Amino acid sequence: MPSRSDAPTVLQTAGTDLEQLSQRARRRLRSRGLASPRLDHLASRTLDPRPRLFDVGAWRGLEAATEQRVRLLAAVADDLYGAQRCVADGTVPADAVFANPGFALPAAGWAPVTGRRLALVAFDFVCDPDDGWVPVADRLCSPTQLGRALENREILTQLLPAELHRHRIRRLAHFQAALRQAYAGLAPPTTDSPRVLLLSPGPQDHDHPELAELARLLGYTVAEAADLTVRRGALFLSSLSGLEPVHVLARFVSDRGADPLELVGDGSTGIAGLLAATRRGTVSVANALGVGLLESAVFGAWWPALCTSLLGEELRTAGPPTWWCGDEPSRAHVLDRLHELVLHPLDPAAAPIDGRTLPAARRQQLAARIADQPWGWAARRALDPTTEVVRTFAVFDGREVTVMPGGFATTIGGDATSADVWVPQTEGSRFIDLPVRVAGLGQVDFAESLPSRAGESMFWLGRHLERAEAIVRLTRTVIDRAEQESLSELPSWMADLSEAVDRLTGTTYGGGLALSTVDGALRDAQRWDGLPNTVSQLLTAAGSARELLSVEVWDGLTALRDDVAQLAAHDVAVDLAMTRDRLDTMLGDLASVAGVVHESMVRGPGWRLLDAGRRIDRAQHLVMLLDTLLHARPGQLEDEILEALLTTGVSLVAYRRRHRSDLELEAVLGILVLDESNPRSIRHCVDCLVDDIAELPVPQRGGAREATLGRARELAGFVASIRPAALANRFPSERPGSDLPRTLHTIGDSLTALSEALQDVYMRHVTMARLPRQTGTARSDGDGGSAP
Amino acid sequence: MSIRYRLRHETSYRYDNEVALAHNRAVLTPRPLRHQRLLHHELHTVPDTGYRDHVADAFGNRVTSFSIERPHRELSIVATSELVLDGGHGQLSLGGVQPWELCAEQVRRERSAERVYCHESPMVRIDAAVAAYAAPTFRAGRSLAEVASELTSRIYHDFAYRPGSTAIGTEVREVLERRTGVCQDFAHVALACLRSVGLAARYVSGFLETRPPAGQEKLVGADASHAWVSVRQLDGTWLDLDPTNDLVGPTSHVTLAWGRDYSDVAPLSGVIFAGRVSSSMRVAVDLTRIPDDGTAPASGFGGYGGYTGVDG
Repeated sequence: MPSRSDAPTVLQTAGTDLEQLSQRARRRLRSRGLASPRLDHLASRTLDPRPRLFDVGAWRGLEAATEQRVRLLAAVADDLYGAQRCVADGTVPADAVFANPGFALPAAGWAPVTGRRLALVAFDFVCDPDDGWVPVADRLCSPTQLGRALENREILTQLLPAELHRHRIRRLAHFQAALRQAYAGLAPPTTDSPRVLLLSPGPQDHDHPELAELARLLGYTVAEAADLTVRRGALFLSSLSGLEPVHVLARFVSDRGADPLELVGDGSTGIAGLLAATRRGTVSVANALGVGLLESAVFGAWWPALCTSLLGEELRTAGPPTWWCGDEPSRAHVLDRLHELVLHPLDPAAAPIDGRTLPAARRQQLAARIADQPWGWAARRALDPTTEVVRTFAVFDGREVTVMPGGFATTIGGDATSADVWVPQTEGSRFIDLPVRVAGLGQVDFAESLPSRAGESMFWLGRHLERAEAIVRLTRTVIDRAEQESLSELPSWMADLSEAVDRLTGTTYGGGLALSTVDGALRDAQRWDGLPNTVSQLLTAAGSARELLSVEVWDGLTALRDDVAQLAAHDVAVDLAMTRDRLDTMLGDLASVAGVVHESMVRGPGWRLLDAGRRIDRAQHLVMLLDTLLHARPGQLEDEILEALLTTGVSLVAYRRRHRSDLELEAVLGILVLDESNPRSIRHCVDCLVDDIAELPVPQRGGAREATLGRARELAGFVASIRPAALANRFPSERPGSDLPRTLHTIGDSLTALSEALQDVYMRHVTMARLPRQTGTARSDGDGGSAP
Repeated sequence: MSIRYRLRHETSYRYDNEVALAHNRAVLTPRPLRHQRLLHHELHTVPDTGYRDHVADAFGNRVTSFSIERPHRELSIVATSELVLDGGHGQLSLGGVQPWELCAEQVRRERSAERVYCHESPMVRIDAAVAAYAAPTFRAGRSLAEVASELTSRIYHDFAYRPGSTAIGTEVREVLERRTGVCQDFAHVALACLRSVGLAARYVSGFLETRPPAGQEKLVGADASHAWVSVRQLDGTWLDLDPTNDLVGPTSHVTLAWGRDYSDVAPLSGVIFAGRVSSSMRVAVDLTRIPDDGTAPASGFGGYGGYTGVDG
């Protein structure tokens, strides 16, 4: 008999400081980018380092309940979307299905190609003092938190290796293998090397980080709807090298809006034609579209009867008592106790209403709504928000259910804090959890196969990283000069530097003081290319390409976010030294990101696009800087200008090593523009750009790539042919290529054109729109006609 | 009396920019019915379709899914059918003379997918205003035929037929307030009323032959897509109500498809993929009687008489 003793114990680890453990756990979560769902949000997630340790017997009960529930839900889904026998025999009232917005009519009456509707499911259980484990929620559309559960285990394996060993805790590798096997088994029989893809609601969704993490652990590409397209009745991923077939879609999105053509949604999301492709049998969606119906709380009233009728078994653990208002005695019961119950609309997507907190007037309105459409409501007792929930995960391959020997412990009230669930091995079962090899899985070269969206994000990540660095370097140079100059008598070159700051951050120079310009560049969140917005866009791009970035990059990006927040806290001029220190810190953090990117990332197409973005931006900033600071004005150029150029262009040391002389324009330009050994020079950037483009995959429309490469080579040839003497001519001359302004314009224009060409070839994005529909019309007397 | 028809439904979309990909769903194949034989049907598109699939939807309608996978700035979709209409359909059955409450009670006990016709649907919301509008008609003890006919007449007289006064997304609530609309709005109002008292009612999409004003030739493309509703009678058959034309019982409309409301059976729906684009749409419908020798008049009615039983 289940009882309170079924609840797991909170494992206290002797001799370890809990606070210290928590901090280490937090650090690890943070560095995995899982601490905050989005980098630009500061909401944080934490890991309680005390695992919930199950007793072997208690776990067996929960495992058996999970196992049976999977088979039950699979059978009910098959029946409701098939023969509907349990409606015909009255086990489930017809209205619970046919009045339910969760019932996907277009998915009814046909079966997926493998005949299977469920693969991975998650259930939330709470431990009731009297009834033992009670299932309180079924997650079928989006069985999330598996990624976090696996992460929690990885972190605890590092933090508490001895404890894991001592309690002989079962490993999770077997489950991961079973999951991969189940997904692979869903592929249509026509393919022998199935490609499985994980569909996320997108980087802006708070579940995305853990989905990207899950995809990484399972070896799948994570995609969002816009990455996928249906052609000739089959599903494809738009990747940098073209369209790649997808056979199994492990989706973590709701039913509604999964296919704008057939499923009612907001119309702007989803994969058009997905349902048709599924019906055709070219792709499997797991879990099948439509199963969200069963997430409707109202089914709680009929699970025991359904289990008897469809499985011929008694339900192991009934859910919480559920009163369906379509049933008259239940309705009377509910209407009497509205103030103590939680009302669940039939629609699984609609939020429940807590009768306890409702003002009297609203409660009356609710009673009227229930009386009006009684079938549309079910009621349950409220659960205390501090109640601990254990989420179990299970895989169904059509024959067998594999329950993960672990789980995700959190509370009803929220999942910000979670704990790992530990299940000990049974005696003598030492080897059952050895990892298994998944047979017959074709390998996809993930280094080559990159969703176009991820490629685009890498490109922008590169560009924004470079812009952030340019802003920091330039403003630091200005601050250094401002410290030396008295503000009352501003030299003209100071105005030029201020103008450069404004141009770099996307605004027109209004003749302001140098330090107020710097302040705007570093702190004004409204400024399009200012530092706050640049870093925010950089984080967005990184979030969208999360699966390509290592833990170290993530760490560095988190630091950048904090740097910007710190800089924003105070007016720059209040404490110049402090601002300068913060800029130094930020340069260090930027360098560390650049270092990891350069030293630890595979030179795949993702890296190439990031690097290309970087080089384009770097060269463009230099062009802008030279154009602003060396513009045609009479008189000698001040040394300060040349020095500022070299400092901002990170080439002062290079210059001093090469030229013992004072600063001379021709030599300075030689270092900044023409020196191929200076990694900061325009020539070097352009050469790298040529290499990057040459290494990018050739998309199916190959010609466009060749043309882009040709343009890059042309630019490289042009830069290589520039004569230093011609460059030093600040005043426009008659012959093209013989003076600085024209040369800079040629380079700048080519870079812009190249950037656009790259986007055209690899990131050509189209958006989805609904076609207008025909309005009905006529009367038979002829004044109708067809409406426009 | 059987009449042979040729039906041509042409939709053209024009875009101001290149469209890379289009996915469409067409519900343009007339349902074969006891009184309606489908002799021939084809769907032709320019540009040609990348793929197409014919499936039956949840309501048994014939749906064609297709895609256009090459860049295009214009898309034309022409559905042509040839069919024979044999007498009317949607007629009053013996069950129709029973009190409407009996029908509602029987439907309430129904344990099948027909229950989808008893509830709110994406475009048919039932609120207090709907119930208030329906109330005077649905008095206790009246026969289904009586209430159906009165509801149809009331909508016909209470609402002004005004093309362009509503759009696809116009809700029943708004139509009830403004008292204007086109056939699909009136159909949605009728559905809301019938469902509000617990009857099963479905939306029917089809075509209507129009008559030219006296002395004028019928214009090509001037026929119209039409919509009406059917309500379920005690014996499980369905009675047609056409509130746009104040017509109950056997009609000689051409039936395309039925569902819960317009959203289930829109003749064409689709999504396109493009950069910035705006689109325009044009629809032309021709429903022509074919003489027995099989030659259809090029346009207009020719010598074929008007459409009986319908009063404009």
